[in-house]
Amino acid sequence: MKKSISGFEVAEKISKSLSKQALLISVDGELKDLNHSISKDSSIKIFTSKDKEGLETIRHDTAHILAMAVQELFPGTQVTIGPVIEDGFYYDFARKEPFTTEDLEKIENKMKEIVDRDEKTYREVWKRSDAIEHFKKKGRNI
Amino acid sequence: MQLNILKKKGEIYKAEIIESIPEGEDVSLYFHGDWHDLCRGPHLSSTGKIGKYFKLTKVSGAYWRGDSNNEMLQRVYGTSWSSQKELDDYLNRIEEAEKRDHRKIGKEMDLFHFREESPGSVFWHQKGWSLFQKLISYMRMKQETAGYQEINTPEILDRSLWEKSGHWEKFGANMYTSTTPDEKVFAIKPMNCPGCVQVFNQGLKSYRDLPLKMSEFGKVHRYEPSGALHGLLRVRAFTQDDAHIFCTEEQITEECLTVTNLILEIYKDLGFEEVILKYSDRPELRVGDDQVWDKSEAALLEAIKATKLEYSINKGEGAFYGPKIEFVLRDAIGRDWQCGTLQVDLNLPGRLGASFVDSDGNKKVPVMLHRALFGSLERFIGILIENYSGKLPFWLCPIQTIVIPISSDFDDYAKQVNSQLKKVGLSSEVDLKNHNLNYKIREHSLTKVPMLLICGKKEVDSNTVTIRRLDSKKQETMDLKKFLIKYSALNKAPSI
Repeated sequence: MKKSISGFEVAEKISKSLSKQALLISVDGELKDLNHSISKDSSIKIFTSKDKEGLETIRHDTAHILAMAVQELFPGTQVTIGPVIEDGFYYDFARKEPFTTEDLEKIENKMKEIVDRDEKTYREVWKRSDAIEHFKKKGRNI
Repeated sequence: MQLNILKKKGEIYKAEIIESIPEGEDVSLYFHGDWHDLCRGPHLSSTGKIGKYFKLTKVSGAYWRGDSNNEMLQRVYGTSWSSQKELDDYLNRIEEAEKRDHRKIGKEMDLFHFREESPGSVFWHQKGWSLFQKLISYMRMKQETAGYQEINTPEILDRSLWEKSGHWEKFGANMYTSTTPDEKVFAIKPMNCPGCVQVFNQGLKSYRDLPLKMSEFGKVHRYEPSGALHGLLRVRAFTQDDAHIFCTEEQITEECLTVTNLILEIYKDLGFEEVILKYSDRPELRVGDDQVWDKSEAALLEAIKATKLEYSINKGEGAFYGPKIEFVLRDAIGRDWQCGTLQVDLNLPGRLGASFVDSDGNKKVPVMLHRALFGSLERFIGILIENYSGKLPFWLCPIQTIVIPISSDFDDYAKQVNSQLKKVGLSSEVDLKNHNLNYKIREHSLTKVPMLLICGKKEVDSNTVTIRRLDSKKQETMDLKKFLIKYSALNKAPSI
């Protein structure tokens, strides 16, 4: 009986240092989280910050953390889309008052705080209708 | 209906995003602690993993979904790296690039400006136009030596020609068109090639006429959305240093080698020694038989290898009508700019009825090589300005010397010196304005004039000039005749 293994465990099996540096993996060519469960024979690639894919994912995460910081500091701000671009990322926000340079500094500091908090990241897959229901409720509480 | 309620309550953006996901598909969410958002992923295992090598760089306005009818959102930009050094290097590059922005320097040097009435089209001021013409004169000289015939063809051509060449179909969306009172449809040329073939087609050609090299400083127009325009670097109207070489299959290799060497020589003259080549070979969908493709690809590769420069291969990225080499310049702050191209064309000559009589008496279709070295004069000038921060090589400076009398007592001598400088072909001006010397020195260093020639009693009595160079406090007095001989000799490109 095949048991499943996570990308992180695969990295650990190779070397302790790789498991420390591993950021994400690809399974048969598709990029996945490190804790993604691999349950059949597949070709695995491990990415660190030295790889293009690793750096892009760092940027994607940084964008999320930017959005987190903005919503913590400025409740009521709606987040829309935040893609990775060349050399970095951006996030679009809907808010009445424009952000000032001082705001940017505050946000950056809050982002560093969130990095220090080291919040666990995990993925969930929901039905489309459940997602709509959820964001509807979220909107009402703002 | 549920989505409408969502919109009313305010999470309109999330609602729209979910709306665009096909029905029946599940949605992926990522949680970082309590915070969550719709996202396909993947992501790192915790927020601590990104490190702290990031910085928020700017805020700008952006329309939701890029539609100007929608709400304006605030876009926060940031940069992020895997080490402090990488972050610092990046921020330094950006700062340096901002200092060198060609639009800022172009304004300081009084070279050009743009207007709303004509987006993407340059208004060249006298000094900017002088730089433009110096580049063209230089290119003209190099091309004449290399055996090119310079021609000039119409900007406006009938739709039927563009349909024959294939541009109407492939380029139509970017072409400016007009219908005349006699109900004909014309288009302003986005490329010079079809016009050039028309000149080639005049009069029977024999193999003895080949290779035939025709150059044109052709102004082309290509519509781009106004949001994409950027100073001189991305315009709607630009001048190409275009040329087409008509040759036989046997001559392809030799011609590719010659063009490649010419391109590298010119880049060296302009101060660009770091050149990277990008080679693109046959795509799946293409015209012409394999044998000619083999010959063309081998020719380009041979030319590339002879340069001993770094090159990359983009498999299958060639045009449907032939393989190509792109020449990429690396500037003073490490940025890459693709400028030159050398493209083999196995399609257009045949389409437009070009032919020559070969040594066996048979009519054949010539091979055509397209090449451009600057690419676009306008864009190249932008690149030059940023590479040199406006402190261009002497021979290219729009104003090379400004003669300044210390006081109005020496105006006559200053005027004399100025006219002698102009007589030997230097771009010179005299500043007789009623400002003090220090003011003039400051003003002219803003416009990056390489040398100021100060004249006072000492200079009048000894027939000399006192040179003050840009960015230096040192002064050097030189005999006027000596100055004229020395700097008229330096007033040309290194290779000439």
